[in-house]
Amino acid sequence: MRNERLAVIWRVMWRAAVCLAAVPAVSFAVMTALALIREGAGLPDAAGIALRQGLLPLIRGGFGAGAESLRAVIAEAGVLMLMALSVALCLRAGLLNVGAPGQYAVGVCAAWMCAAVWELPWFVSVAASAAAGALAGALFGWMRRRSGSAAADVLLDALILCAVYAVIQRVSAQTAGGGAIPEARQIPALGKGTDGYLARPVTWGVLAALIGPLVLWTVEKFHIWGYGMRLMGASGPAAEYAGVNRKRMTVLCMTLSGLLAGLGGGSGALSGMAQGISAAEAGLDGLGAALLAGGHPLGVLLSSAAAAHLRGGCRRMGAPYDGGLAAWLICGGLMPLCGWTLRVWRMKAERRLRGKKEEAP
Amino acid sequence: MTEFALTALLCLAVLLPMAWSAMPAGRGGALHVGLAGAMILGGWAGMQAGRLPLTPAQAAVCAVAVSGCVGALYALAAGSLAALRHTDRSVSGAVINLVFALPALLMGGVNGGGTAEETLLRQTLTVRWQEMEISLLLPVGLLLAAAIAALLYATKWGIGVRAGGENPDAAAEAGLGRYASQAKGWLLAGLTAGIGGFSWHLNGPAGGFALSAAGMALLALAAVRGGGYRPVRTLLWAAALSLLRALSACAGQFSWVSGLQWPEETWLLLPYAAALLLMLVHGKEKSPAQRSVREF
Repeated sequence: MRNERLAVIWRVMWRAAVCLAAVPAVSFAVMTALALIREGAGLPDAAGIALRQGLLPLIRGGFGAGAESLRAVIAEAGVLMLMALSVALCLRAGLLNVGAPGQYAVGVCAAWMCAAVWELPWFVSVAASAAAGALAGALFGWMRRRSGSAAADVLLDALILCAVYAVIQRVSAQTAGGGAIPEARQIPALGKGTDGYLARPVTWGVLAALIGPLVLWTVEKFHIWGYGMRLMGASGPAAEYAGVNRKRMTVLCMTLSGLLAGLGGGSGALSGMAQGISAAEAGLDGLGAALLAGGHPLGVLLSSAAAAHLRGGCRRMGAPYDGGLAAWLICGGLMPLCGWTLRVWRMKAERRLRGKKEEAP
Repeated sequence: MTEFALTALLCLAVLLPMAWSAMPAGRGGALHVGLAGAMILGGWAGMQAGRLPLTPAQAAVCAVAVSGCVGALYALAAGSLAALRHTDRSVSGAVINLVFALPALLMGGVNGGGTAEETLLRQTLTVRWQEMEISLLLPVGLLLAAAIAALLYATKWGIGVRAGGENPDAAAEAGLGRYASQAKGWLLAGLTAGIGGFSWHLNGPAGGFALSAAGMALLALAAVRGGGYRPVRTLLWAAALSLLRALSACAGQFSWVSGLQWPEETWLLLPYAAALLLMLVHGKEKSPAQRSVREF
């Protein structure tokens, strides 16, 4: 049986590698097709354009373009890690946090209000963003209990995003300096100076994002609450028979997930990133990274770093490609699709193993 | 007032066919969140077909047909992928919908609108009656709704669709085919969503088509949910939500609305907030099939 389990792990690992390789491979195919259409070149020329202007910058990511580029990728990876962790926490409990973009936006709004409008210290702003995200998460959890429908989550998410956008637009018009957060109210940078790899926007928020998955993994692995959460994800009725209150656990998971998403939003807003990640981008990238990691907290570290790397690569793409659109398609569309495929494969492999166990005398 | 009434009717002509065609799957417990994607992609494809070098009338007919076909194919692909899911239903279903809606959102966003072909298409599909400009897609939508009701509740084919949505196992036992009976439902929902998307692209608010179309699809789902998956109640809720949607579009025309001095965004969000409340009030864990709810 041990050998069979090892075989399953090997099969899943092999397929994970296929999924990861599929992201640049499919991207290259699409880029070649685009070059064929837009440039009117022959196939070899189109493949050359796709390689030079698309695939190579994509693979290089933030590397080889100076410290500024790498700093942007590291800062984005910190935000994406918190977002992916937020989605992964719910995935482990068998839930999908469709409202993660809304919770992220609430976190951004709370941090911005505290830092730019009320001029509070950065740690108060971070705490406020986490609390606001947790409140939004609890609301989504209550909704999930009440309606049991993903459509209601999508509606609430859209309402929250519109409301947050309206609040920020109205308040920033009345605030001195157009609502920019002063550097003194931002999270301190990890390193000193302005030109190193650890200068702004790489802040202490990135370090917190690195520690988060470790804490969550420890709780999930060794605490009874984590066990209940994983049990609910594996089988809801089994969890109920074991004494887990599913409704309370749903609200709790969504609250914690909201806290992490809010923290991601607050950390992004208070890091002084010149061009922050939008809520929709953070939500989709987080989902893709969480699915690629199979919902595992430690896997999230790698997958969200990969997502930030690819996002950095998309920014460096040349004509005829639109870097913003490519980032949407690759990180927001292709990665979740690959992650979902991997999840289906893993479930099938585990089911096969379970079937073999039941057949064994 | 006339513009408000026309807008409300147009919203109803988009919402009602989608709501009624999404009902069979909804009764089985699987709400069609992918309607938004079908609507956006159908609308986009219809606009592209309208640019073909044909006579205006031919281009208009071709656009309607293409939007319906693309919507139907999209819904079939999304539904088939969902049927292959082997993991937790809510997670996989939502991921499929998200992933499928993304390219549709992107394509819808790329097609900004306001071109000469679009204006010509709009003029072709508009008639003047008593100093009012009425889109031909308005009666088309209402007739489509009536046809769907007749198809679902008065034909043998409709029984197959409803059986597939309500209980695929029972449909398979009855010899209707598990996949075939479900696929008919997806095709029907996609067809109406595609045509609705095209209609909304031509006659809906200028700019931001993708998001407003996604909003309409969610309103349709809310009407199904609020109506308890029953046709008459769904019609009433669709009418109520259409009125709210029209109010949010024409809020500036009423003196009592400006007298309230509410922020502009409040009126924009009003129909969606109402839809959310509707979903919460009528939120049920179990589908009607499991609760043995009658159809009427």
